[in-house]
Amino acid sequence: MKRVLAGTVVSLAIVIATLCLLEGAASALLFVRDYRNASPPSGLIRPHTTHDSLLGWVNRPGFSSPDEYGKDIGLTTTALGFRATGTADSVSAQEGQGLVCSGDSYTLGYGVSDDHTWCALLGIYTKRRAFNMGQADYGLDQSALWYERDARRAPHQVQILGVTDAQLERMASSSPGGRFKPELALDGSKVVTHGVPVPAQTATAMRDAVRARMKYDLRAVQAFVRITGVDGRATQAKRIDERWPLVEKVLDDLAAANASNGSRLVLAYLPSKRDLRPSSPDERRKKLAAYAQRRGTTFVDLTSAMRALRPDSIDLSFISRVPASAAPGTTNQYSDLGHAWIARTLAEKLAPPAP
Amino acid sequence: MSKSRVSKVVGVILVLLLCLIGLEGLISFGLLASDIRHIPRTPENFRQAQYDTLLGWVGLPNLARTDNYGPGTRLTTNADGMRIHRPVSPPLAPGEKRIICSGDSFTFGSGVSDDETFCAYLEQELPGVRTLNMAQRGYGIDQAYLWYKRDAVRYPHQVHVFAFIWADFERMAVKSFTGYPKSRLRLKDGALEIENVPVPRWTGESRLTTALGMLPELRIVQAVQRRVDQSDATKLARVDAQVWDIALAVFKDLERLNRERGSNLVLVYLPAPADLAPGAQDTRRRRLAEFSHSSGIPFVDLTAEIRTVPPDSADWMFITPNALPVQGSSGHYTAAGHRWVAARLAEHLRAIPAVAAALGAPAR
Repeated sequence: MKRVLAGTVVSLAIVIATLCLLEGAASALLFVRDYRNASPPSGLIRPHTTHDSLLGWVNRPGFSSPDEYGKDIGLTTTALGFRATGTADSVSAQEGQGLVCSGDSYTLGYGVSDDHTWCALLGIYTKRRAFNMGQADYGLDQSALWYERDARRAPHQVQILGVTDAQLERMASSSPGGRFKPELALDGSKVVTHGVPVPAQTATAMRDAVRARMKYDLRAVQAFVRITGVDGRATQAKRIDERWPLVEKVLDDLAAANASNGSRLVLAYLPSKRDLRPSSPDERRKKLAAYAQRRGTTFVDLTSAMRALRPDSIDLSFISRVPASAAPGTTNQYSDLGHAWIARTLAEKLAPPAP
Repeated sequence: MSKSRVSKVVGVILVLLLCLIGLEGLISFGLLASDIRHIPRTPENFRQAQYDTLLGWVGLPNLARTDNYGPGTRLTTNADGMRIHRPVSPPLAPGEKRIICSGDSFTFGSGVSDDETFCAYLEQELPGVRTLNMAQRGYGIDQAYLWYKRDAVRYPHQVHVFAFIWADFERMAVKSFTGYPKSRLRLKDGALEIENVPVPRWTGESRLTTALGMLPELRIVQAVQRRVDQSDATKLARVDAQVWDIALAVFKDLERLNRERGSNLVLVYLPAPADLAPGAQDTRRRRLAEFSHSSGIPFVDLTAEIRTVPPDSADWMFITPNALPVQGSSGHYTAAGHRWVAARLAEHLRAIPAVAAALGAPAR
């Protein structure tokens, strides 16, 4: 009986060990193969962008891609390299009245057509000519630098800086996702720009970024992250919290640049999907609100208003169904409905109080 | 270094490597086991059905829930477990006409109130016509057919709308759906046969189905999947190879049954979110149209029409992931979606001379 039992235990151990070895070998082989075959994510760098030695990348001026985000959902850029606002341009703006919208893909309107971005719609609602200076994957630093360099060519009295949580996080890196960009730092009370001239983008850097993420495919790494809570990706994202004085100084400089352009800075926090439930971005929003109050800057935080919407309206405010042949990465960006809601809500919040 | 030392070092490295590989495998199984342990309970709203020896499950009889999918969404059933939007008695009043709607959750009206299903809305589109919703959540074409065959005979009717979505073919291929056992049809010498009956009793909450869905977490499964064609077209073709002839036999038998019962069968393809853009399902729809042409069984396919609806309107026709407090209805028609289906379907029904005549509706 004892021998039978021992035999069973040994057989069972052999089966388990074999299964573990097979699973482990499969994991190792997949990792090695993926690592060797890694390539830069296709389509991440869109044809409407080109290299810029200060900002990393900017729009090509006068570019048109009529089906960028699906059939008839086009993207056009103006001669100044801003995103065009489509039919909104023909809407009668009050003489000389203009507004500049800065930010990342949520401001650019990644996934919707030129005239459906919140910037274009806000121009209509406020009877101002809108200049869309949003750019996909920009950090707050790049938005500020672009404004300081090029915005004086656009006659305006207001700059609305659309802030997203991801945009703040990108500020803490010189190559988020392998894309080269400038990195700002504080030198005493001065902001200095590192990494300029920004080198031309290389496929190798983007491939290396893909490879760096691959370690999270290993099951041992997944277990480590799960057990210890130590996640390199989250740590990188949190670096901006340690550099908060830099964020405030960049905003100070941006406000000063606005003043020299005869404009005023308005901060608008644009909620993305990660803001829909109470989470870590709440702390950053609070810090932004406190900063704005101290400086007397207008700060419009749309998070609580969006959280108060009906759940199906929230769902439909973000792109979930991607048309065939659309540029990659449109999922979870604002939909037409989302942009319209942002524009309308911003217009209401920014309108002067009724007499 | 001596030869024996080299081989010792190589041996140690190999053993270390094997240990690491084994550890990776062990951790992988450990993570899977942990995920399986944390599988959430079955959604509450599935508990509107009861065990049935032939079908697997049927609607609970005499339900009267006022807030089934959220405040104000009623779910009412009659004594036979059919969803009703007003009291229904099997016999028809003189001069009354009836349409029976068969199908799955899209016809049942998952996520909407009793009077917001396309079957209920058909009464407004076709004045003087009464409808009876004989659909059930999770049904495949096989179960919808068997239920109609067994229980519809007591409800005189003039038209039978047999509605289905693309996934109802997939359900024909399996003997259990989300852990609930069901019967399955097969063809033997050209005749339909039922297997897995009496359907095994549901033994309680099973994590097996969800657990099976987690297997692709395993790297060995991922390695195999990468070597197998995982495209939608291949998956659908695989299912069709198994169930297509059975489905056609079901449609033919339904036509015979309807004729015997003095009714007109209409097959209806209901577009689901996956049909909004051209894709692998289009081949299946084309084959269905060809079958309709050759068999003479009317077939209404609403896909082409829904694709002409502007995307921002089409978005409002499907329940979004967080729209309802109760999970499980995402992707089904909203009340607006059902109203659109009813309007389009009524138009098509009026265009079929035999159906228009049977309903006493002016033919188009």
